[in-house]
Parts: sequence; structure tokens; C-alpha cells
Amino acid sequence: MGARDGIYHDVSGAPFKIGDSVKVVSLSDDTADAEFLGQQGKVLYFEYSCGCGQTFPNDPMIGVQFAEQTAEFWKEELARPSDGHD
Amino acid sequence: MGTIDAVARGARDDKAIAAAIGGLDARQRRYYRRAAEVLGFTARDANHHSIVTPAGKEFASADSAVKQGLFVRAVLSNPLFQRLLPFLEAKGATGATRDELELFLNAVAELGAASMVERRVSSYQGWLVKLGLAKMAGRRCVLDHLPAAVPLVRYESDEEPIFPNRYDLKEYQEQAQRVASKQEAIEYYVEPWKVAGLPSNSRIVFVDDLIGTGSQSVDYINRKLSSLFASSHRPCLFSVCATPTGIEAVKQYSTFEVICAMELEELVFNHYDERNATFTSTERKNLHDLNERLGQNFFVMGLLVAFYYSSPDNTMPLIWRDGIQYTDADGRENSWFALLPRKS
Repeated sequence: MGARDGIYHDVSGAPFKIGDSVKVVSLSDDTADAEFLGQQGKVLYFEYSCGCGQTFPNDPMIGVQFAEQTAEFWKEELARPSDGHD
Repeated sequence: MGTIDAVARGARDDKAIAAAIGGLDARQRRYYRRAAEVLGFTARDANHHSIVTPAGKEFASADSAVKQGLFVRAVLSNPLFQRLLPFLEAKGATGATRDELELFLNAVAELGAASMVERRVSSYQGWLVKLGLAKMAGRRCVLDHLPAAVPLVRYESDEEPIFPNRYDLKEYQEQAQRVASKQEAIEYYVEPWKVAGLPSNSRIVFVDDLIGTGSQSVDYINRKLSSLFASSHRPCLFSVCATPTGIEAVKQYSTFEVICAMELEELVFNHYDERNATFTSTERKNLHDLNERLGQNFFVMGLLVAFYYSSPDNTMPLIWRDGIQYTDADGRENSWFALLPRKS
């Protein structure tokens, strides 16, 4: 589970590609790391196996690498900076 | 299950729990910690640290075979699953699709944004299957037989009385005359078990005073009333008044037809609706704030409806929540005096 069981390569049908630049634009519930709201990072891995409600392949938990930290988000919490969120 | 054992061994916060289980991302460990709390195995102390409840202690000290049974019992005792199981039971061998489960749970519980509803229903469905309480038949979730090892489960019931015992509203007078004129053709059954023996195609009418969100009606129908009649019968819920949301919920999640004497249209009766002209936006906000202080689970419908014998819990709490301790806008502790206290 977590980064250890993450998939570190592109998954067909996933909402992003590995390495995509993303920005945290919202938080769906209070388990999210609020400190990253508004921050930009890169998609590091997809996680489908921890039993948090994920659906393969389109709704993984998405591991995002920020400068020195990693955190996981749902797809609607992230946007590509080019989508008008930068 | 690892979260409960970790807390029992002394893990108190997210990091310690994650370290005890291993390999968890911060968000995942928060979900796991929350799940243990929802199932009643752990709680937070005043410092926000996790502690085991008596159920958690029992779980942590049990062997793996007993643990499974305790976990099943916790799931079956959870209010959300106690709503979900009768719904699945009513679906019989056909089961329910995930869309149907989402629609139902979204109507009877607060599950957050639409995307989170999908995920939570996915998790609940996963739990039921993993614990052997349900199975997947293609894309449909079908309730299975309970495992023999499941201990006795207390099944809570918080429904309003569905049969008011007195009424004298004018709206009933015409109906009463019609009933009187058909008296010879009508049979009354006081003993509910006799309902099952009624001839095929009989129309069976149950009477209620208010359908609010519809969740209590659906719950009561699926848990208690559905078992009373045969599939050939035509059940109907007659209510003095009902909201469109409630009518839709009963129609969608039960086999009952709904008839009501007065439909409480959102525009007129939901006093939180911005289109409702009864209150200004400032007054609405103040009402919302006050009602939230008095009982956040009871105020979503914005109703101001009361009967002479009691107030429904869909009516604003400020009308009926008598003697409730609350903190006012200035931070003072107060006790609320309700105009029309609710009687149970």
C-alpha cells in the first residue's frame, strides 16, 4: 500500500501521465494534506490497492512529488497548470 | 484491522499507526484511522490521540478467527450499514448495481461530494464482499447469508412512529366519507401477520404523517413492512404531507406507491432555499447558524411544519429541540427553550 505499492509507469485510462505537472486546486475531504493546496508538483505514481475507494484505471490515488515531499490526491483535487490554474 | 492492533499496542497518531502497519501514505493512514473510529474500535482522546475502545480491546486480544467475527459485528452495527443492508435485502437475488447503491446512500446519508460518494460506496461494497456478507453477481451486489460465526447484533431503530393514532384534519373528511361509503368492501387488519394472507392484487395502505427526506420511510419499509406482504400485493404509503425529495426516495427505493394530501414544495416549504421569500438572506443565514448549533443532523430540509401532537425532526431544530445545551454566537453556554418540543 502507499508509495511502496504504487504504479510508477503510465496506466491507460488513468487521469494523468507519470511526470505530468499538476497543481492542487481543491481538497475533497479532510484527510487531504491542506498544506499542499495551491502548490505544484509532478505525478509520481498511481495507487489502486489500499481500499480507499479507488477504481481501476480511472480513479487512482495519485502520488504527487513536491519539492521534498510526496502526498496523495484524488483526480478532482489536481489540475494541469495549463488548464487555467496557474 | 491492523490499525486497531497498532493503536492497542500504543500507536497514538497517524505517523505511529503508519509505522506500525508499514507502507502507508499519510492520507491512507488517515482513512484507515477514520475507519477504525467509524466501526467503534478506536476513538480520539482530548489530545486527538487514538485510543482503543472496549470493542477495540476485545478485538486486539482476540485470535484471528474471532477477530473476523468481531469485525463483521462492528460493520453490521454501523448505522450506515444498517441502512444499506435492508436495501440490499429488499433487492433479493437480483442485487443492486453500484449506481443504485450510490443513489440510495446519497439519499439517506451524508457522504460528501459526488466523487467521494462513488469512492465510499466502492469501499462499503468491498467491505461487504470481503467479509462474506455479500457477493458480486456480475456488476450487481447481492446480499449473502450471514456467516454462522456472527454474534448477536443490536439493531438500532430511530424511526418516527409511522402510524399516528389520532388526527382530525379537514383534508381527511372527504376521504373518510368515501371510506364510509365503501365500508362493506374494506377490511381492517390489526394483526400485521394477517396482511400476508390477503388476496393477490390487494391494495395495502400504510399511513404516515410526514415524509421528509424519505430515509426513515424507506428504512422502515425495507426493514419491517416489506416482509409483511406478498409480491402480488400493491403497497401504498399514504402521508398527510411529504416533500418532493421524500416522495421520490420512497418511489425509487421501495415498491411502494406514494400518495400525500399536501406536497411540501421546496420553493415554499424549504426555508433555506434561496428562492424562498419568507426570510431575507441574512435571516436565512442566522437561522442556518442557529439550527446548526442546535443539531446539525436535523436541519437540512428547512421545514417549519408541526403537528398538534409533536414536531417532525425534519422541522428546524429551533422549533422542537427543547433543553439542548448549545454555545451561542458569543461563546456562551445556553439551554434552548423550544416552542413546540418534540414528543416521542
